[in-house]
Amino acid sequence: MGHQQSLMTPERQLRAQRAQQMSLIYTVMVCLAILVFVQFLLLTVALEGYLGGRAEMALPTAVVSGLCCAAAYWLLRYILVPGRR
Amino acid sequence: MPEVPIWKDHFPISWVDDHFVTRREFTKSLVWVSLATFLANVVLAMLGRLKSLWGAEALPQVQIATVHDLPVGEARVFHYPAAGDPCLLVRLDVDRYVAFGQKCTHLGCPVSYRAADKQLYCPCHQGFFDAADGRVLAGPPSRPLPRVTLERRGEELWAISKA
Repeated sequence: MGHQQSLMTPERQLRAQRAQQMSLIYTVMVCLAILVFVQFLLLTVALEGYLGGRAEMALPTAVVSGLCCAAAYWLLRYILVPGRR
Repeated sequence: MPEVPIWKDHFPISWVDDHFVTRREFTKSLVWVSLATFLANVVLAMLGRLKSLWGAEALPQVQIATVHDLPVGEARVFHYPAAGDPCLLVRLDVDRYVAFGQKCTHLGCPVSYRAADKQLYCPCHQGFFDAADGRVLAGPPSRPLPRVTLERRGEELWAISKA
């Protein structure tokens, strides 16, 4: 164990840290892409309902879209909050 | 102490960091897209609400036919509420009349009446609707045909509203 620790030079530590950050960013990016995709679907449904005379469908889709937006902002904090970077 | 090249002052972000910053910015922009999509949805919801409040005004009442104009099992086209809105009046039975908007809810082709099946048929993409209530029976349409409310006044048939 001690031998392994001695191999962890500052440069390697930095590289490992960087890899960790990249994984985090990629994970957040994928999650955000999924959320935005779902929101686009919801917007399509709302628009279809609005044009088809069923405008009441836009309200529940707006609520779910808002939740997705809040989740997206919450995910973004993982990248932007300095303590987590 | 090694001398720092002057270009490092102007471009302090390394290649790796540059990628890092770009991805971060991209992720931020995704959140902006998410917010914009949400706002678009809210605008649609508000427009729908306003439409339902303001759109409740009564449509004109128009005489479209008399009971003698149409034999049982026949259909005829009329326009309601405006000249550009074709509708189809169908006599299903001796004393039963129904009317629907003639534009297919899929892509707007005109539907026609099939008396043998008591169905409304869209020839463009093989859409079938029930002539009794306008619901979709088969094909790509996802919404029923808009129904025109009829009222019989003696021998006359009047269109009084449209869904």
